[in-house]
Amino acid sequence: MINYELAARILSGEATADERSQHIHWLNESAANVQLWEELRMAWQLGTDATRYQEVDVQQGWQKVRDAIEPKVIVAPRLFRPVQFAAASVILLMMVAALIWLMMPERILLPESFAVSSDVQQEVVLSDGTVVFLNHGTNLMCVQPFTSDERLVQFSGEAFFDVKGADNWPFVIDMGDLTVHVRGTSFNIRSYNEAGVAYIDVSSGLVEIRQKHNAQEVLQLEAGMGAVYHKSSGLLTGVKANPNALAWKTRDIKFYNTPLSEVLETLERVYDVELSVNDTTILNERLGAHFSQNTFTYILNVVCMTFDLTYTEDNGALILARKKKGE
Amino acid sequence: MEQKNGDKDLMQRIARGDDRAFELLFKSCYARLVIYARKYLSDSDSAENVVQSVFVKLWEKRAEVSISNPFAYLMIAVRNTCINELKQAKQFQSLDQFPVNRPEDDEVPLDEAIVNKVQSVIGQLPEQRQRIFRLNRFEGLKYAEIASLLGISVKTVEAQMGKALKYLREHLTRKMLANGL
Repeated sequence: MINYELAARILSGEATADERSQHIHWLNESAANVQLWEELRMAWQLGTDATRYQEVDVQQGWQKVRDAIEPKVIVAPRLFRPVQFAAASVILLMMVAALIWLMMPERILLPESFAVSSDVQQEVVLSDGTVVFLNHGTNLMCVQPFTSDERLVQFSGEAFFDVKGADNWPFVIDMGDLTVHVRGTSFNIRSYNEAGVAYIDVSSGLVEIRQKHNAQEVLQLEAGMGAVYHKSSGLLTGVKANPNALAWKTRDIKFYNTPLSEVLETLERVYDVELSVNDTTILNERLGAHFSQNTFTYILNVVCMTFDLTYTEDNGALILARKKKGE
Repeated sequence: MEQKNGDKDLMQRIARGDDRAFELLFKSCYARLVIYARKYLSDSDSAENVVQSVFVKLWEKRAEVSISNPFAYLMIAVRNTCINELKQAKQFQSLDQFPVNRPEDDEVPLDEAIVNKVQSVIGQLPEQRQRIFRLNRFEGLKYAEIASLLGISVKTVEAQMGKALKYLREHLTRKMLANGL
């Protein structure tokens, strides 16, 4: 004969110390008592769990977790500008997404296309944790989140990529004529559509470059290496990485006995300015200098003072000239 | 969590940052994990917070961890987080304020079918008995608190709780649960 009232009081913690010690005594009397108590305890526990289960608000819990893990795509606030979508690109992306949808019939969820077209520098974080720091005038398109066996990104412009995620999950950057295949690595790409030359500079890891018309030939680049691609001739060459490849992002520029032709090119790239000379002998001068976080005007003045130059502005472009004697 | 291949596919999608796969996992495990956390923590808010934080951590580590059985992984993570919470709370509370009931190692995790069965059994209790049982088991009210809330005697609460236990025990035997209800 079970005293259910007493059992319930013990299970809910209402029993007196006396009752509890009597209960333990009773348990010790026989194995049958222990088994009986186990059954009671299980029924009680199930009843308790089921009551609580009913009251759990799954939707509310999900909202909280979702808020904590957003945002999936971060746009650096200080550089934020409204994202502009090129209509043609969006249509293309919808087609890409639709194609992926058709190729994966078992998938129920359709990934969203993601496009950034940026006039200013900004940073985006993709669903796999990859960070892309975009320079101005850069277009980046991909399907988000990445779900297929290859992370495919359409790209033009300049950006620093820090690719994250599993090694066996290829990350592919499509730039039209060239594709870049990467595995957990960081590198800079400069490939503006209107420019005749594309540059790739690897900071860490391993990068493979393939040309669309000749997919067999692969150029492998390790850290410290770079590649230059001439679009008109289709010539792809491996070179030493440009030490100033990341200067547009870091504002850290180093020149080691560098011809002024190259100095001016670097300044154009980093500060998005146009520079020219009225006397080509200026381009043969050589400069050794280290600039860190300096403004363009400051660097321009240093260059002018060093080589005794002046500059004039013409339609947004700066023209360097040698100072006339006595000036 | 019967379909092992389905789990593997789901975890791979999560590892690749698919937040909708993550939502599916969350919704299939959340309530059961909250119940599990309640066995360590006395109030439902902290139990829910613990489970939510475990999911947020899983999302942050999604690319690094390799998980074949997500529910087992989550249960262990919830248990460890609960134990840490209790250790921290120890500095402010005396030991005997902790819940006496600790989950047994061999305890079977709840599944949807068992919960439904148990809920239907509770639903068969007379209204007053059901209400008293819920106030005690879910709201965590003491017998005396229930008595004053409902304007009845503590003796009546005791009797109703005893009858509720008797009914559960008669309708929820191990054999019944093993035989697919």
